[in-house]
Amino acid sequence: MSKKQKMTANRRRVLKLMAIAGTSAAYLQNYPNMANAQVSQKGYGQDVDVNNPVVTWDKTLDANQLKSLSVIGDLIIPADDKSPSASQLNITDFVDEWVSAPYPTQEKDRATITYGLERLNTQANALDARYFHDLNGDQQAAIFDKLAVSVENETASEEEDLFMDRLVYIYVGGYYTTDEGMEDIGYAGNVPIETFDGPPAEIRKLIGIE
Amino acid sequence: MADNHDVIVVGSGAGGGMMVHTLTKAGVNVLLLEAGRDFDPKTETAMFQWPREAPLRDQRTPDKNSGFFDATVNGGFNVDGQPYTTEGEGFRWWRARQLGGRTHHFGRQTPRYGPDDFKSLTNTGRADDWPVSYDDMEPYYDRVEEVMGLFGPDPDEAVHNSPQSPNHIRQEPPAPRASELIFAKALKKMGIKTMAHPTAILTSPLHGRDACFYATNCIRGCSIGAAFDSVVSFINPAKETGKLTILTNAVVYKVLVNEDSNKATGVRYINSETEEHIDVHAKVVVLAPAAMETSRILLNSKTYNAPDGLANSSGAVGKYLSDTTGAGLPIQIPALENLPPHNEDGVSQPHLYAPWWLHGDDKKEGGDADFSGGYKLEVSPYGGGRFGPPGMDDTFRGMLIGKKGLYGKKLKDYMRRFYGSTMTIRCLGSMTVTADNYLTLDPQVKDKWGIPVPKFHWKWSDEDFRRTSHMYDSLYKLAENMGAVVLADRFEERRKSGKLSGPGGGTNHEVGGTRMGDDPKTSVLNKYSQTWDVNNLYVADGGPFVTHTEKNPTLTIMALSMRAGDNIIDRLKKGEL
Repeated sequence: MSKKQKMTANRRRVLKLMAIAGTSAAYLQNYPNMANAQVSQKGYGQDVDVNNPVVTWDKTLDANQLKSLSVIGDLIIPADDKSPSASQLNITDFVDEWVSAPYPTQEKDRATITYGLERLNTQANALDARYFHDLNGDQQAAIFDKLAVSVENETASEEEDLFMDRLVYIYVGGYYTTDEGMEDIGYAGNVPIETFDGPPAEIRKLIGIE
Repeated sequence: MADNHDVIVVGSGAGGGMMVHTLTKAGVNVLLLEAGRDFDPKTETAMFQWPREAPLRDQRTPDKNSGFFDATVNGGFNVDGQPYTTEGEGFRWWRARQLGGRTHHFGRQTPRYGPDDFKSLTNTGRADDWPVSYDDMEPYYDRVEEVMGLFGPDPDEAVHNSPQSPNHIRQEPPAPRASELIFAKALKKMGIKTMAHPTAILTSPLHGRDACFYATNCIRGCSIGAAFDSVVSFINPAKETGKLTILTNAVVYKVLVNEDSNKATGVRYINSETEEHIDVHAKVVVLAPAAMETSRILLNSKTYNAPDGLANSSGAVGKYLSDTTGAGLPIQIPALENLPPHNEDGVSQPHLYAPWWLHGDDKKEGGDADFSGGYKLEVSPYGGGRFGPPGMDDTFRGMLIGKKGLYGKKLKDYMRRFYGSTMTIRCLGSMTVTADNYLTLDPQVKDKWGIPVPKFHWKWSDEDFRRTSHMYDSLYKLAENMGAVVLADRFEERRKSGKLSGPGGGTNHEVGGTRMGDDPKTSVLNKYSQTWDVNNLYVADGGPFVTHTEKNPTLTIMALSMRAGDNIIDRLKKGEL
């Protein structure tokens, strides 16, 4: 691919992201990283070293986006007596890895999530805060719950619906693939065993198969 | 390179590997050409790595269509610089560019075709009869299974037209998982028999290979040799004979022919690293680069005497393509909620299945199965459940279906309660083979070396629609009998739209294009997979398939390849080649 084609492709992508976001230069001012999104970012290719996995792209979210996401991550997955919160396991870092990846699904998620964050900031602005993460905990919880309820009731906009869906999916995926997350849901495997004899008697009894 | 080889084999996957093994063990000198790079499953397989160790938690991407840890090298549905085009309902073409081909990324399901499957035209009026019968194939199924190794059910339990490996060959299967016990109980209520699925995974050591330790998904490949692949079972033993020469990065695109003698003299390939075009020669040429590629090579091997492509006097090259039909239903089983942690990874593939159960009078009695062929039922290893470490694509996508707006404490409680209780039940089925599915050479598009690429023309038949529709009916009945909740209920909507299947090729079971037969006017190969037109040219991949049943094709590809290999050995001995 020539340099010119590359630039055109990137430009097209940014314009597309802007179209999805439905905004203009003002929007990009808030999120300077978005204009630079994925410039020269490369995927890991089709012949990878599975024994030495490497993330081949840079993380691109800015400090404010990360702060807001951390707050939202803990609203989605809070700490309780059994397992830590999303931010305690640094899952927002994985969200950054995800939305910065140079693949179509992730690029779309980037547009969805950065736009969703901007919408939350707009709501924060109405409460005299610059960013969502500047609000107090009660305000954050109230705004996020309102969003979640509207998504559940199917009264949310398409963008809000997607924002909630994708954020929950990425946080759940990031969180429940950690040791702590897997222990929480009760995954017990990925260890070598001699024979596979099926579920133990205790389980068979619970599922009604004697 | 000295041209002192008896046979050139193109492609090192299931068919090519089997051919190489058969020939070299009989003392035949073989040159094996593989389009991809060398690949060693012992050192290049991710065993025990957790999804979190991979970029994007091992999520599927355009670079690695089955996730970062999948065994496929330089492949998937799109290969850089090696495109294809489609027309009609679309087609997806899975390829791999590595020694052993697609046998590393492989579910290892290896059922035998049954006696009825070889007599489709006689029994159902559809497609055609094969020029071979189950009796012809049975000894080859036995011999392939002995080399490959597999677990399977008690053969005495076999149902009509789903023959099983004999006791002296098959190994004991692993026990069913909790979800599969519920699956079996429900099917029993419905009068449908379940048994272990014949699968090319060892549960006892064999030929120096270890038994499975019931961890790590088989599609990553297998570093201990428990799951069959072409490198460990075919190519490495063939190397030990001293009769095998391997060229990797050798992309074959043309069969060379002597127009006077009408014999294949060798092949032309591109060295993908140096971009040189090189000719190699031998007494016999065997094409096994995967079915669709074989048709492409033949169509690209035009000669003065064969203006429509080599071995194509019948006009059948590239025609009668088929793929497995399928249906899947995501479900949740309340009985499996809140279970104490227990390890159900197993062999990462289904431990149980229900072979097709409606035949002859049963079928008439049932009244609703108005289609030829059938399908099998199983719990999908790729739709949740407890088939391995929880992952984004397989576990969480399914768990979050219909859970809009769920977050916080409620989400955590939900995850604890429901993990392991969501899964997909699925069917894999026959396809009615027709002339509507074929490939041609695209008149414009070429690959990065300037070689014309295939254009796939795809259309599911009305009968495929009726069969797939019947699959959904069975899946709904099964879900009900399992006490399950159906999670995504878009079936009726889709049935009304008249479209139940996605693009062809999606199950990676594409076969045909050089079908075998008794009549040179309607088939490309004779019953030994030898082309009618050029008598020292053979096909040993999925190309020869005449019909497409609900049984996964790989074992039959290998059995046909071994049979063709025997024929080559015999004719070499007789001096016919």
